[in-house]
Order: sequence, then structure tokens, then C-alpha cells
Amino acid sequence: MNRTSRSLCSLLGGVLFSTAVLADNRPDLTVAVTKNPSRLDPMAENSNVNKRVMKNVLETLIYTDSQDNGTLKPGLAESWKRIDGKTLEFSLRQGVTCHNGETFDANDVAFSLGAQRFQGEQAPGWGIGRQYLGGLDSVEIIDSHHVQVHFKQDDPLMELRFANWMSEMVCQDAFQAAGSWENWVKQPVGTGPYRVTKVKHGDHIQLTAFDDYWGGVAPAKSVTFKVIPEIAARIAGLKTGEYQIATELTPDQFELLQNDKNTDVAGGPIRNIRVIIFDENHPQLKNPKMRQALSYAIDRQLIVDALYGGHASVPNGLQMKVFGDLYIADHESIKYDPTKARQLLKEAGYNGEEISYRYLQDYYTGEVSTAQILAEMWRQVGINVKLELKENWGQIEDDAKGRGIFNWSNSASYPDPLGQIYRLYGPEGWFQRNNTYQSAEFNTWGEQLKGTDKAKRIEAMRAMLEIYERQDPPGTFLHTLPMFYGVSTTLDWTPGDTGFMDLSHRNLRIKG
Amino acid sequence: MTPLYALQKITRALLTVLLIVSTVFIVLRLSGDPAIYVLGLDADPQALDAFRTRWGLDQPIFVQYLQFLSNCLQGDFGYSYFEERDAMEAVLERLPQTLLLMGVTGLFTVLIGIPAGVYAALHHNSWIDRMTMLVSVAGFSLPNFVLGIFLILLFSVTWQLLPTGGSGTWQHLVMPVLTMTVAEAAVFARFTRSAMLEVLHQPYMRTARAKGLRWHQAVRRHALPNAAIPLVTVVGFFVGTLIAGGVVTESVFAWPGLGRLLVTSVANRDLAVVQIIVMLIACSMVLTNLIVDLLYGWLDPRVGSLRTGN
Repeated sequence: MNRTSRSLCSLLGGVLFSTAVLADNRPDLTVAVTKNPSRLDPMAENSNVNKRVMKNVLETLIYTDSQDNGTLKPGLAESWKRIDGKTLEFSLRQGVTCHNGETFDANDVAFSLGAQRFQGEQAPGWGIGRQYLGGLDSVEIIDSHHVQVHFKQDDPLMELRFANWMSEMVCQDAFQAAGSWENWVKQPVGTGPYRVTKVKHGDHIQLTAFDDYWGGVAPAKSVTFKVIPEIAARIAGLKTGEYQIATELTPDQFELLQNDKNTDVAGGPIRNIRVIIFDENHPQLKNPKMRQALSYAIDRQLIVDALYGGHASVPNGLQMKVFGDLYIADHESIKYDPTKARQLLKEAGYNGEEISYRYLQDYYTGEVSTAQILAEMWRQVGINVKLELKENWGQIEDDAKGRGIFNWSNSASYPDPLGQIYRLYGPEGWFQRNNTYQSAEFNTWGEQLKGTDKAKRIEAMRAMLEIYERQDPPGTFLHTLPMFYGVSTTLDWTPGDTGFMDLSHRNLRIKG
Repeated sequence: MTPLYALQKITRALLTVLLIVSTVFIVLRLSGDPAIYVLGLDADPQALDAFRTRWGLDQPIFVQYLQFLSNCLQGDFGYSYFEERDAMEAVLERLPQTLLLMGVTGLFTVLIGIPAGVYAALHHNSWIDRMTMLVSVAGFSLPNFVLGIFLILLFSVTWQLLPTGGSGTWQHLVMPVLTMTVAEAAVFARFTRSAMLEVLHQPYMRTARAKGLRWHQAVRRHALPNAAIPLVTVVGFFVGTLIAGGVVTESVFAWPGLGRLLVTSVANRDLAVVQIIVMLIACSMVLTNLIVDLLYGWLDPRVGSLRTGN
């Protein structure tokens, strides 16, 4: 061995040694959560808790940078271009390794969206994935690092669909090695900064740093999402240093953490708006004037102040600023106006008939208090609302008879009105499918919203906001939904606006 | 105790288990649709239908019920929709944790509750008696979650001696056991005290003293065995309250036992898991009570002969 090779060897050894030391110094993080997902593939469980954990394991082709106003950046694809209104071509990143050691390439993209996982009614992921990627027609492999995705019709959201939840890529060999969908969903394999190493149902999910990750070294050696159902126990564990992050905090707990030098509070509104729904099949709610009156009678700011201490806000209609050009800034949303509510009731010929309002025991934060406040606000304008506490969703959804008002939340699955107002209230949404709402005019504008002409899309959005709020309301908005975390001051971590806890090097730094 | 008495008791026990399991089966199916919980609110209607067909949830309820009974008799207790595995496997995984919690709590409850009750009865109306009863009332009245959180604040946050929650080491066991023991030992102390007080005033105690036995001899030979009879009944209820009380304690201390699994499975309508746990609870309650009944017949021969009319 000559001198140069010896120097190279010692240099390489030094680098490896320092990497090992660095890796050893990384902390094991524990996140105290209320609930963990059961089936870990997004297409097997479409839940916020699954998103929270698994986006650290499975990655999308395009990365949404939540710290940079949701800018789309290269993810598993280095670049992408629109071929036409319904075709998108991705140039995949080279040198990406899956957690099982296989190289990630175009075959894995085609497989992730193919018949064994998603495409077609017989595929196991179709039932859940359809509402996100149902417009997909085919995936064409150009070469090992280039793929084209073809949609059935023009789609303004093509890039967003591959930058958000449900388009996470999986690794083909690992999927096939699992043997069945039931086995696969217990421990999916992807390309993310962490890999799933241990799952104990109802207790914890452990992720371990994947040291061959293409994007950079994960700041934590491992992350354990531990189920701690009681909020007081989550906070106590955060204070003692057993947990570094505690999720699902309520504003009344903030002071406890802010007064402690070792802990702090993070978070804010996520892409979700709390709403109430009117079932137009109810005899009293057939007349749009009745639904308008219900909406005018609500003092939304009062609810936000009373229950959230100002930590939530009243949105400008059913829309969000992240929609960019599609956010109608000069839209004038419906305001609290009890006089107008009374006048509309009179015009509708309402005579104090009972209207049922079904709700659950705090499925949403402060749900019971909100329902009671609303019932009182309605009573003050002369609407006779009967509060009906139900045990579960089935009792609200399945039993249509007598259903009047009920609760829901409208998350924006994409930062675009197509991911919120039209996804939920359009023909594919739950309300039209279950006949609580029908509006041909709304659907016509919705189809225009699906086009690619920006001016026409804005025009459609304006019209839909008017229909939703004033003309023929299927429900009404209340306030933005926030998500708060307690965080140890040893971490520099900023939560995003989707509920995903990004614990990669892009978003998490360990102090000191 | 006659064989007929024993047979009657066993038949009644089996019928009780069948009744409980059937009620749970029907109520769960009538009050919520698992498909919505598994696939989510926004799921495709076809996917919801496919799920219902796959698990036979689209069949009339009595067909489902007969199928369930037939499967149970063949040792198939169903599949957990949420954990994607055999429901029995999911339950058995949690069982050791619950048994550990129950066992240690049971041991401390008996070791503290019974001596405290006996001591209080023997010192009736003294300050020790009054203090014991005061502590017992306080322990019994304090809800588990209040005591649990108080212990966490004291032992974990302030003194930093014990972990706030979880399982794995003996330190994890201290606070859950303490929380449950306080309430259970309080019940035992009260029952033991009243049972002892009643026995101490019986004529046979006077006789024992009259024939020359010392006070402590009379207590040991005559009072304690007789006071044990009503106490055996309490043990029957005790098993049930350990599991039910465990639900709250397990949540506060994030103890991965059956109580928490039961709550989440009911909320998620993970039917097979709920059924197995309810069946387990019912069986353990019924079995304990059966043993208590049979023990009664053995401890007090009058019971068995009276019931069977001999």
C-alpha cells in the first residue's frame, strides 16, 4: 500500500469514525401522542395520526416545504414538467436507497400507483386513495429514472397531488416480500429519513434513523411515538424530560409549559376549518332562508374567544390563504347579524318547530361547549334547536331520519379549493353522496374550477363561496382548527400546517 | 354441598356468560358501523360496502350471530379490523400486563385492607378505628384519575423518583398499583371491619370467652374464620372492579393492558376484540363467583343443603 492510499484510508477511516460518533451522540426522542395509526400505509388508513408518523418514513415525489410557505421543492423527483394539461413527467433522483437496501427507481413509482397497491377497484388502496388520485389514468415508465403520469382529464392539481398526502412512494421488493396487504400495512418500507422498526399496537411505534437516507442525516437516532391518552400525563412527562414533544395540547395548558424554562408551546392553525352541516332533507331546512338564518345567528368570534382564548381565528369564508391566487382576499364573508337572522326566519315562515343538532362528546376540541353555545345563539333569534349527544359517527351518518344539523371539519387536502370546498361539497363529497345537499349550480361552477384557466377558476371560486355562504348553504364555517404541541427547549422544531410532524434534518435541530 | 347444587351453579354461570356475550354482540352491531371507523368518513361508498361484505356485516344480525357462535365453538374468535391480525392474539398480548397489575394490586389490597379492618374492629370506637375509617372513606371516594394525576405530580414532576407512565420496570408499576390499591384496600378494610364487628357480638364469642379462652385466642379461632365468610363475597366483586377500575388507571399511566384495549376497541367498533375481552371479563367474574358460591357451600354446609331443599 503506497503513502497516498494509506493517507486516503486514514482519512476515510476518520470520516467514518466521526460519522459514527456523530450518530452515537444523536438523542432518542419520544413523542407523547393521544393515538397511533393501526395500518401504516396511507392507502390503508387515511388519518391525521397516520400522516403525523408515516410521512417521516414514506416520501412523495415532490416535497412541500412547510417552512417556506408550502413551496414545492424536489423530493424523490429532482425535477418535473407538465407535458400537457393531463400529463406530468418526473425525473427521478439517482442514488436513492430504500430501507430494505434496494435502489428506488421508476419501477417503484409505477408499482406504488399500480394494480397491486392502488390502481383499479380490486386494488387494496383504491377505496381510500381514490378521492386523491382517482383521476389517474396510467403511469408510463420512460426509463429507469423517468416516468410520466397520465390523468384521464386536465387537472390543475397534478403537481400538488404528488406533493401531498396519499401519493407517498413505496418500495416494490419490500411490498412483495411482505406477502400480503395485511402484512405490508404493519410495516411499510419507503425511502424516508426514518424507517419503522417496532410497532406495539396501542402502545408505541418506533422509528429509527435511516443512515443511507439521500437527503441528509436524521437529527434523532430514533423517534418513539408513545400513546399517552391523558393530557395531564403527557404534560407531566414533558416536564420531567421523558418526552421531548407532547401533542394535542389545549390553550388552558399553555401557561404550565411556558412558565417552565425547559418547555415551550409550538403550533397554530392547520389546514382545517371547523364547520357545521345542514341536512336539507329536514323539513325545516329545505328552505335556504332557514339555513341562512342559522348562519347569520352565529357570533363566530365569540366562540373563538371563549373556547380558544384567541388561539384560533375566524376565516374569511370556507377558504385559506395557502390557496395562493385562488384565495379570494376581497371576499366578504357572512357576519353575525341577529336582526337579519330573525327577518329571514319570518320570511321562511318558521314557527318554532324543533330542529335536531347531533354532536359527539368532544370528537372535535370543545365540541360539546361549541354545540351548547350555538344552541343558545340560535335560541336568542328564536330557533328551537334540540341538542342530541350521540356516541359515534355511525349514529349521525347512518340514521338520516330526523337529522337536522351536525358537525364536521373541512380539511384542505391540497392547498387549493379543489382540495377543500369542491372535494367536500361537490358530487364526490359525502354530503351530495348522502343527499344532505344537492346543487346543480354549485356543481357547474365546480367543473369550471377543475379547469386550468386561472381567471376562470377564480371566477368559479367566487361564485361557489357565495353559494356556500349566502344562496344555498350546505352548512357554515365556524373557525380554523389549531394543533398545539408542547416541546422541550432542547429542540428547535417548527410544526407545519398539515399535522405531519416533520422530524427530518430539514425541520428539526437538536440544541447544545 | 351436593352435586346437584354444583351443577345448578355451573349451568347458571354458563348461561350468564352466553347472555352477556349475546347482549354485547347485538348492542355493538346496532350502535355503530366498523367500516366507517376503519376506512374513514370520506371513504368511497363501494369500499365501505366491500368491507361490510368481506366481514359479513351486510348479513342480517341473527345470521351474523349464529355465525359468531358457530365460529366460537370452533375456537375462532374473529379478526381485529384495526390491528389486522387474529383478535385473540391482540388480546393475549395485553393479558400479561393486566394480570400483573391485577395480581400485585390484589396482593397489596388483601395485605393492607384485611389487617386494617380487623385492627379497627378490635379497637372499635377508638381513635385508631376512626382514623382507619376516615382514611378508608377518603381512599374509596377519591376518583382514580385524580389520585393518579396527584401521584404523578408528586413522584414524577416534583421528586423525579418515578416515570410518569408506561411499563417495563418495577418503577412503572408503583404508581398504578398504589392508585388502585388505595381504593380497593379501603373497600376491604370497611367490609372486614363490619364483618368482624358483627361476629364479635355473636353469642359464640361470649361462650368462647366463658369457657376460658383468652381474647386473642377467641378472635383467632372463632371470629376470624366466621368473618371470612362475607369477605369471600367481596372477593367476587373485587375481580370485576380490578378490570373496570383498571380502565382509568391504565389510561392515566399509559399502561398497555386490557382496560385500555377495551376502551379503544369499543370506540373503534373493533367488534371481535371487544367480544373477547367482554367474554374474558364475564368468564373471570362468573368463575370467581362460582368458586365463591362453591366455597360458601364448603365453608358453611347449611348454604348448600338449604338451596337444594335437603
